[in-house]
Amino acid sequence: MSVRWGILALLTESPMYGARLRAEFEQRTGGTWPLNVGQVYTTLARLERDGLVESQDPDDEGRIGYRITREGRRQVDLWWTSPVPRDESPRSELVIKLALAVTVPGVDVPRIVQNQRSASLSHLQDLTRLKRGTKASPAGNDSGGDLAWSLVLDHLIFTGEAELRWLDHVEGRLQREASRSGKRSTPAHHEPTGQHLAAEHTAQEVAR
Amino acid sequence: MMARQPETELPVLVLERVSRIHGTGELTVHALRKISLAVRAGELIAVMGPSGSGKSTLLNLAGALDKPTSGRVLIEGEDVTSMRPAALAAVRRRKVGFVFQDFNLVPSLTAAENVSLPLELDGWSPRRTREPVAEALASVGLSGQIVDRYPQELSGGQQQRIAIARSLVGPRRLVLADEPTGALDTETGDQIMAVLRERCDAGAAGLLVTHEPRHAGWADRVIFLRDGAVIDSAESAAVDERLMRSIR
Repeated sequence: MSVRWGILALLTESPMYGARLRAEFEQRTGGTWPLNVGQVYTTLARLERDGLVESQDPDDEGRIGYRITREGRRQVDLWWTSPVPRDESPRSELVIKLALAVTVPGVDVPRIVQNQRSASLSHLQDLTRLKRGTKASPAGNDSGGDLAWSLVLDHLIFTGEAELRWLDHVEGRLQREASRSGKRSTPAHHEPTGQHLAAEHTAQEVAR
Repeated sequence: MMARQPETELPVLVLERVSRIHGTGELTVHALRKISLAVRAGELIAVMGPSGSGKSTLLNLAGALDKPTSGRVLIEGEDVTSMRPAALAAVRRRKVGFVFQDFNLVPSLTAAENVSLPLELDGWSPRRTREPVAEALASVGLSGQIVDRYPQELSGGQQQRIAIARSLVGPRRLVLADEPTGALDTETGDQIMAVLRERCDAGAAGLLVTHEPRHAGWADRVIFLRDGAVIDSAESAAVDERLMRSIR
């Protein structure tokens, strides 16, 4: 997602000038994506160049408002109804770390898993506390801002939960592999490889 | 409103080097190995671990439903490990409340009658139970005509609220919850966790067994069990400002 879509979506409501767009964007995304005014004006200039917005005459205070064009509105409608593309490449440091850990000899993988689980659960507790807090919303007290902020927190909580479930899964796989190779005299043919772990991590994310 | 118990006061629940061994000889199973744990008023502690790690055994010992092979369990300062069955039953009636995955309400009793049950079993007159029952139901967000309905007329979330009210009615302040959100959808499960958290914030001591990381996130401390032993724990770590910066 780019700031471009956020600005265009806001302009479907009414024409706005840059500072107002910035404030609305931050408030409605729960303050998780702070923008600077320069970024907003650069984006508006590009949108105007592409024919998706048009600038209005300055008001009494010299502020220039922007209005969405028919083509801009069409593009936003398309954006609302299109699924967000996923980045399928599992480049999280945790995935890379575990993928390497199961292939490099002598690494205490269960310890890595437990250390991460403990840290991830602490983070989940922190997020839950923020959610519980009556002053959780950093973006004003109106119900719309609170709802947006709460949904953003929920997303972080669900993402954290997916990671913890994946860690449980990694631990279970390692135990199964260990008991299987213990029963055989030869090493297991299907040890969890980095590729397997990465694919399973992606599957967990998608299933979330 | 937080009512965390000062450390100078006795914890509501204490497990002192508690072990539980099932079977003998080659069939010996160490269900729990020297677990020590204290739960204070105002605290919610979550226990996580894979199947067979000892979570249920821990909860049964904490609720005086089972006795440890060694070590002591103290509820409100009383050692329940050496108590006779009648005294144990009285502790369970007066001091411990259970919340289960499938609610365990009596189907032929109304919501209010279900909440009143532990007090009446303890010899309270129905008239005397009226006020604490209404208070317990109100504390979980239930009042009005709903309290005169039967469990089957209520949603899963409402039934679990009744179970939480029952677990903490009258003088009880130790709630032991075994997968209390297991039978509920995501949103209702979150609401039930919020209720449980509120009751602990108001002065109850809670021990929660769960396999849901999201629900363990409501606890002050999370204990990880493996093969009957505590292998690690997690606590809320970041101050809110630092957390906010990391989110942004």
